[in-house]
Amino acid sequence: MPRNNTTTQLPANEREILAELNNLRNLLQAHGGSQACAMNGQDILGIMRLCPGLSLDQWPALADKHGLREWLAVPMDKAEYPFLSHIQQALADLSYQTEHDPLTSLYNRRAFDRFLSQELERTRRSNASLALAILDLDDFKAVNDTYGHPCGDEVLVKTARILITSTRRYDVTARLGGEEFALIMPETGLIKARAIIERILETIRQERYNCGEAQSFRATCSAGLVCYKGLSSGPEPDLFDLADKALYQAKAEGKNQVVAAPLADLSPPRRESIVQSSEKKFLFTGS
Amino acid sequence: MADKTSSNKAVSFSIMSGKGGVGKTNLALNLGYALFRGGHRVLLMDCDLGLANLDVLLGLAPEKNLQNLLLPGTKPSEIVVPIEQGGFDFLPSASGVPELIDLDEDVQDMLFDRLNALIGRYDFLLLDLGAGISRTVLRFAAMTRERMVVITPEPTSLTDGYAMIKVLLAEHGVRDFNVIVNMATTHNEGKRSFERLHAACQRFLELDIKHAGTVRTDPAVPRAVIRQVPLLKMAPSCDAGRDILQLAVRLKRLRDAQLPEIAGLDGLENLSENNSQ
Repeated sequence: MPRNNTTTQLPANEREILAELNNLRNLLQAHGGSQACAMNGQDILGIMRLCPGLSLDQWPALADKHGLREWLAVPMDKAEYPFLSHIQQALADLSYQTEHDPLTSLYNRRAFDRFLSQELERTRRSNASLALAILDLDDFKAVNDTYGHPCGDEVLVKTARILITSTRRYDVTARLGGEEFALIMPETGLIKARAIIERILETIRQERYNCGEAQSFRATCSAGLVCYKGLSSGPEPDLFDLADKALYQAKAEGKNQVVAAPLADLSPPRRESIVQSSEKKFLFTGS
Repeated sequence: MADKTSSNKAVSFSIMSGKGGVGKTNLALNLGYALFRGGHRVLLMDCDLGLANLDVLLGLAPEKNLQNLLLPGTKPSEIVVPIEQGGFDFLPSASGVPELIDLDEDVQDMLFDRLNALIGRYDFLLLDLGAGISRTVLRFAAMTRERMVVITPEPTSLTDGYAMIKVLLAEHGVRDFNVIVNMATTHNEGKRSFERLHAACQRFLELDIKHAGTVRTDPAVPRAVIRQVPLLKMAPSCDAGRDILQLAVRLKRLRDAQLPEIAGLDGLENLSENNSQ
């Protein structure tokens, strides 16, 4: 079909759009824009204009007829703006990926760091206990070596599922990398946190893995635990380092267990309200 | 008829002790009774939240208590129980409710907000506080205009009383304390106990506490408790009874001294922590 069809035969709205597009094309050419530049990679600008009364079904014929293939048509109708929703979804997916581990869907290290610093600040201000556990699967290299990496991945995914199902909605579960996981437990003291971790380790022990033809096997996990109460007025303790050292100790003491670091910030009671023994002696003896 | 005078007349007293078993609740009840007989309107508040006992001393079984005020739809006037017709009332609390021992400060604030309307009708508010130094006890004690610290001549009671005074000073800046020595054999013994506590407060805390009086041990006290009547109603002229009457006179003087200060305040404002900071 020839391109130089007389525009007078066209409906009024198409005529109007064509005229405007031609004007724009001329304008772009006058400013050095090229019609053939679209695939060259750099300096591409999309210009958008809302065209009421034109549907996506009409567009391909129109584009073909008038040489408008370089013009991108984006439907904006149907109230939900499906194309924009699509872009929005893509952005949401990207943002999810920046904070989540693709294999296990747990939070990744970056998100973990953010949550930990937020909870530390909350505890420092509110004096509500905060517990942090670092968990590391025992002898994971042997699992990979013996049963293969896909099987190792299955162990990681199952461990992640155990972590999610054994914790509360407001706990933060993360995969820090490799076979190392972390659990942030807000408003949780050492005793409660230890019970939670013991339960998780027990569930991991009970889990049985069948990878293909190989014989089924079980995995174990070690954990280091630390608790911060926001009591001391000094700088915040490095909870991650303390939990990591406790984990190291758990490994050194035979694995498959949790070791808790001593409470990091027990501050001495306020001196001005303590009854000293000299005062007691005076009250008892009068001198 | 409740008079609607614009000036506030209610002066609050907390009756407190570092340790239980010093006769605090019994003193609160009888002081209230004495003041009522002296022509004053008295509200006795059981603030031993969680372990309340005043109802037992009075032989009452109140249907509602202070905790009901936290539920919507309960008016303070529905909770108050008259001990004597004409101006001696009782505000009961619940026993065996551990979460009440450490009242959230918002909840406590709301409680006082709701009590506000009630309090203007009285001359004396006597708060019978739980023993010990829980946060709630300390906050209540810091809120009242006057504090009556009850001790006995036992040395351990002295140290408990002292600890309570020291904590209130350190944490709430409270400096005014009146001491009642209960269960003393003689007035002299009571005086010696007070002087020991006074000397310690002066020496270590630079605090000048006041002796409100001594109440002697009296066999009539346990009898009155068993009969569930105020001692002063059963045996007003026994040793302890006369001592408590003396104490009541002391409380009246303390109130008289407070009146000019609270005249301009509204309702529970005189129960605010500001006066102790």
